[in-house]
Amino acid sequence: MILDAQALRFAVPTFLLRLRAFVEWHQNRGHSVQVLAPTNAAVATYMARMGIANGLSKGSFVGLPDISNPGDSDVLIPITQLREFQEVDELGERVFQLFLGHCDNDVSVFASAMHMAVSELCANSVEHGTNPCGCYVAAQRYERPHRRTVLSLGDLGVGIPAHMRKQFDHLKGDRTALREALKEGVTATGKDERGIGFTSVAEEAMNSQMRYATLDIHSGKAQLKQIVAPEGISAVTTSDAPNKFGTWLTFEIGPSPSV
Amino acid sequence: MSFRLDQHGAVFSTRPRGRQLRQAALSDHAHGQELHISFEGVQSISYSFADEFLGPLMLSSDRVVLEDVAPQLHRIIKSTLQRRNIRIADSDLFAVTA
Repeated sequence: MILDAQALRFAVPTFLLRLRAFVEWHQNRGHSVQVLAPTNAAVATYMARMGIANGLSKGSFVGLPDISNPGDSDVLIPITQLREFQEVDELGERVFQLFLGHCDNDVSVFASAMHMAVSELCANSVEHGTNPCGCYVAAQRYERPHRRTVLSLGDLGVGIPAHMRKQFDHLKGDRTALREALKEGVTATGKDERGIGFTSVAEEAMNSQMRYATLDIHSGKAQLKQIVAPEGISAVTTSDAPNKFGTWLTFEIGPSPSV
Repeated sequence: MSFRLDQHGAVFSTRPRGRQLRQAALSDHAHGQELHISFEGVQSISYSFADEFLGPLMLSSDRVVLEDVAPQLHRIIKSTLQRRNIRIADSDLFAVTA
């Protein structure tokens, strides 16, 4: 199979994670997959800096530049695969120190908010994703059009709606299931103390002294967007979306509003 | 008995890690004694870690004292215990040793 990405002119981290997951999923099944890298040098360089081909067989991505020394990059966490909880713990430690270095005026609450997002969302993904590929995660900072840090992650598991229906079979629609999964104390694990992951991420974002944060989730045939401001969660909206294999999340946090 | 978290790291993330460290804290703890847990040097904990590490300890009959908890961790711990409907006065739970 050849994926022709030569015409690609723009890519976001979540797209790159999904592309990487797609390639790896097929290669793990013995399928031959090759991606033709974008001819746009900036996009190809960005994909290389994100480490999209790291660990894959040579020739999986054709035409990517060799980035041996990325220097001071906007890529904070290149595409990383997590299969075990211990790897989440190790990433959490690394991420906290990394973001501590990016805190303005020693605002360590920002580092705590990012650590919380990595911990809770990646652990969810490793636990519920239940897929040999595990969880894919990456983080990047942006200066334009406004300053923000973006954490992207995803897995090729059953997806949140299907997972929720194992415990709550009345949740027929994917949008309803996704919205329900975000409520505090709601869990498909059957354990009363669980179901705090998403609310923990929102709570720390509220306390981070950043002006806004958003959590965007694509899973099944639904998309959910949660907007968090210092005064609380300002909106949760859902919409129908093309069916996604697994669960894909983007968490953004920054001092300027995104909308 | 005192258990120092900073001997195991400065940043704690997952439930399995919380479970592992709770068992480590209890391994040398004599039943009927107070259990002192030092958070000195701990920079960040997740809610899930806090819940798994502290939740079951707080439900045990022995008194638990959390020492030198940084303000941002204090908030996370209080919120975690409230979610479990565990209500302990700050003066009974937190202590500063320095």
